[in-house]
Formats: sequence, C-alpha cells, structure tokens
Amino acid sequence: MTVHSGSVPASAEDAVEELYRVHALGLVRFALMLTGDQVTAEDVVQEAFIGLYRRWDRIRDHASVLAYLRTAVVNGARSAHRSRKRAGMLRLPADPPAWSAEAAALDGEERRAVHAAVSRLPRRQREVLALKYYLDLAENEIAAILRISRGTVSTTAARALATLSKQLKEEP
Amino acid sequence: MTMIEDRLRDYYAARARAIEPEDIRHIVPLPQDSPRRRLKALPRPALLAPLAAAAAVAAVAVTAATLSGTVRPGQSPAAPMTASSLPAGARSVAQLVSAGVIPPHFVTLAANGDPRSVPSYAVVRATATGARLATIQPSAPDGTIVAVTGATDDRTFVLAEEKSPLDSAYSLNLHHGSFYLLKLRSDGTVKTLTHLPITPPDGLNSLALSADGTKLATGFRLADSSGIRVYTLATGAVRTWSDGGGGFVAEGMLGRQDAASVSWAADGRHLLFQWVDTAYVFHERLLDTSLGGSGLLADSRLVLTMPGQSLNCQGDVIITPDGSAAICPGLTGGEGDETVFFREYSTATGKVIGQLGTWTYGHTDQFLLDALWTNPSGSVIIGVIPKASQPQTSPSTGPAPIPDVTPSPPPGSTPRIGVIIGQTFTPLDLTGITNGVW
Repeated sequence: MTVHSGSVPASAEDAVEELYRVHALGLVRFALMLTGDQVTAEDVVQEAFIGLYRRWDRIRDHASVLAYLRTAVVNGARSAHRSRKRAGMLRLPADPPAWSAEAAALDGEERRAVHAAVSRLPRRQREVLALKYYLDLAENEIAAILRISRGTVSTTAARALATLSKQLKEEP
Repeated sequence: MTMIEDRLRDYYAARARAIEPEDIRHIVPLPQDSPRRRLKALPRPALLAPLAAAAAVAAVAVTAATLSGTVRPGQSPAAPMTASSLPAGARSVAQLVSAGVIPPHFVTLAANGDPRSVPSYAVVRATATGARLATIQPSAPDGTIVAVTGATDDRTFVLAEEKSPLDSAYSLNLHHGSFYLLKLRSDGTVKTLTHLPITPPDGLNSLALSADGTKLATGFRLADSSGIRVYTLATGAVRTWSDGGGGFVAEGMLGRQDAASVSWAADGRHLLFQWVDTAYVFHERLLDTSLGGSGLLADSRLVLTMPGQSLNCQGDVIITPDGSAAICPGLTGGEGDETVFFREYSTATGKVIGQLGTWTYGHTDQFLLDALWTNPSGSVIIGVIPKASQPQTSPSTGPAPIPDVTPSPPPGSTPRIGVIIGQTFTPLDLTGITNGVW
C-alpha cells in the first residue's frame, strides 16, 4: 500500500493503526528472517510502529513509511541480536523448536539445510539475503534500508551466496 | 536465477508461511504522551533520507580540467599532477581549483520537492565554493533529470531526462527519455542546451561521455541480455556490443543518479565497464571500441576480477584518462573495523600500482564509498568516503593527516566528498547544496 500525503488519516493514531493493519504481517515475517523467532519478531515490529508513531510529525515523506519501518525492523532485530549476545546466545537458533509451526513449514531436509546454512551467515549477509530474496527488493532499495552502498550490497550478497553454495555443495 | 537463489526463495517463502495473519497480535496501545508534541518546536532532521538522496550529491559529474587543457584523441594527456608538484600549501579546494588540479565546475542533480527524493533538475556549481552557477530544469512538467555525464573540457555535459513520472526512485531506465547536450561558458553559465536526436536504449543503467564529448556510451541491461551502446553525437551512428545473456553490465554503485559504472579513457577508444557473471563474480573489463565485432566479451578483455582474496571494490571502478589504471574504491575488514582506500590497478597487468587515501573506521553512519573523478594519471581523485559515526577514524598507514572527524551526523546528511591526494582528504564545500532532503 502506498500512503499518499493527501489520503493520510486525520490523526497519527489512525494513520499508524491503519499502517499496522496493512503491513504488520509482512513485517513480522520479515523480522522472523532476521531474529529467528516469532515472539521477538513481533516485539521488534511493535517497537517499529511505536517509533513511527512517536516520530510521525517529523516524517516529511509519508509515502516512504514502509521503507522507514523496514529500516526500523532491521535496527530492532540488531538490538535483539545484541541482547542475545549479552545473554550468551551467540547465534540464532539453528533449528526452530520441533513442535512449532515454523518447524512444520520447514519440513524437509532441503529447507532445513538452507535454514542451518543461512543461520550461520554473518548478520549483514543475512539481512541482505532476506531483503533480496524474501522481500524481492532491488539492490539500491536494500542499500537505502541498510544505509550502505549498492556495491556493499552486491558484494555482501555475492559472498553470502558463495558461502551458501559451498555449505550446500552446489554451484552458486 | 541460480539453483541456490531458487532454494533461498523457497526457504523464505516456506518460513514466512509459518506465521498466519491470525497469529499477529494487535498493535499495542499507542503512547498518549507521544514526544511528538514536545518535538514540534525543534528543528526537523531529515528522518527519512534514502540513500538515493545522498547519492544525488555523489552523482556529481565532475569533468577533468587537465593542466594543459582538453585532451583530444591521439593527443598525449597532460603530465600527471602529483602532490609533490602542487604549489606549496595548495591544499584548500580553491587553491586546488586555481592551480588546475581539479575542475572548476561540477553538475549535481537536485530534488524538487518530490516526496521520493527523485532528482528533478540539474545544477551547475562552482567546485571551489559550491555556488550555484546555473540551473537546468526538465523540459516536461513531470519530467526529471536522472543522470549526467561530462567530457574532459569541463564545459560539455550530457543530461538524461525522463519525461514521464518515474515509477521508481531507483531505476535509471528511461521509458520516455531523451538526452540533451549541455555546453557551458567559461564562467559556468549555460551556453547551449540541445536535444540530441538519439533514442536511449531500453534498460539504460549507465552512461559516460567520451573525453572529447563526441561519443556517448550507455550501459543497458535487459531480461535476457545486456551490453554497451555507443552513440556518435555528430552523426547519430550507433554501435552495440551485447553479452548475449548469462551475466549483466552493472549499474552505478550509488544508485540511479550515479551513472559512472562505465568510463572512457581519453583516447576515445577504450571503455572500462563492470560485468557480473552468473556466479555473482564482478569483473572489470576493457572494451576496445575500435574492434569491429558486436560481442561484448569478445571485444573486451579482463582487467580485474572481484571479490578476490584481496580485492573488494565497493564503489565504481573508473579508468584513468591516460588509460593506465583502474581505480578501485576498496574495503577490507569487517563491521567495526573497516579500512577504505583507493587502490590503483594496472589495466595492462591487473597488478596493484598505487594506493591513495587509506583510512580505518570504527563505525560509520552511512557506508558510502565511490570514485567520481580522477586526473589523467590517477594521482588526484575526487571521491566519496564514509563519515565516521564515532571519533575514532585513524590513519592505518603513514603519518599523513586524516579526515577531520565530526560528530555523528543526522541520518541523511551528506557523505564526505572531497579531493584525495596521497593520504590527504580535502572536503569539498557542499554547504550550498540542498536537494530538499538534508
């Protein structure tokens, strides 16, 4: 959904709640790719929307709120990752709990192998892959969200694909 | 699409399906003590500053004012200016301009109130002061000037205009586009602006005007192939080199306004371009446009391959006008310990022949790195380097002065653009440049 300045609801509350209704599912799914578990993913997305609400009056470009939210999700996931590090969980869980819906979704050796390989990648590589292959964003859009150059996106993606190919033993 | 990409998409799609719409919690009650009321009276920082906005500055098409004037085909480039041959103390931008070390003008693209920060018009500015010398508006009400490239005389530029509203802030591709030839007077004001009767290629992703301003090279990328198309401006003659698919000619590293992923040597014959193969390996190749073929790979030779063990070019690789070197804005290290540099590789052997500006960063607010212009020999570069977000930038080699460290800039503030000579970075005065975003 594109929000045009002429159609923004009257209040910030209404606007943010409408945006949440439209985008929350996609953003939680995206956050899941970065955080590794649904509870943290939902927390990160909630925080992103609260942050959006707090800054609503300072955002000049309401058409770009989705890009803002994606950036906030990335930053929130990084914070969650740092918290995990402090708690001694140095890596994302390599496998979701066996009873979870996610485990069911990852049914099959192939997907589990990809999951394990992706989980072992450095953070920036995981972010670039999720933005590129889950959200299907162009490299320049990824660059804008991660605040890195397109060249960094390209080389980061290339290195990640090369690593995955090696781990999964196939040509990239 | 490769097998691993297919597997990744399948994995992400399956994982996403694990969360159903009914699984999502309702939004928490929004805080009623929102600080927005308190912040209303404060200055508004550029909160949503897409990289494209920063790239608008980085898209400066700085053309080479050589010490001896314009370089013509067949004419030897001017003797290289080196740091040691500069007038004593010539380190300010104004001094560098007056000494002929860097060009006196540049053209940047500026937004025009567009909420997506799409650049709408071109501005000619004085390098020394950033002063606005001329403004070129698009010809159509909904048009936008999306890219610019310049010749070495610092007076001749080509602008690419899209006449229809853009559907993306990131695509250079022109659907209803045109090229215009811009000629400046010696004071930087507009002499002529002429519509060029040539049709931009579908999938346009880069462009470069030859040193003498007679030929325009364009990179294009389509679904099934990519290549280079060169237009002779005087006659309208067109030559096309295609890769036949299986890879693609890369676009500029900093986004749409940065069209510099192709660059000409001053001989008007050799063109450096970046080609990416199906394994996502980046190659810098040198096209010999005097050859009679139409195969992009057959008529070009490999200069560099990256990322290699020691090569990780993060910005556009540009060729020096004398054709001797390819300049790689490079990076080593990882997050929190990144060293950037401008490394020069021989176009003949691919070996390292020099390096300028080596700086190590703890953290950067925006990681932008690119080479925008070089003098004939590569001893002077105008480039973009990241801003440190913590005061810990330090030289990794040598006792050379380092870029001054400023407090962490607000999101969207300008990257550092400046003149690099040896280890010295002299920032350009860009205070006069505003595109409505920062």
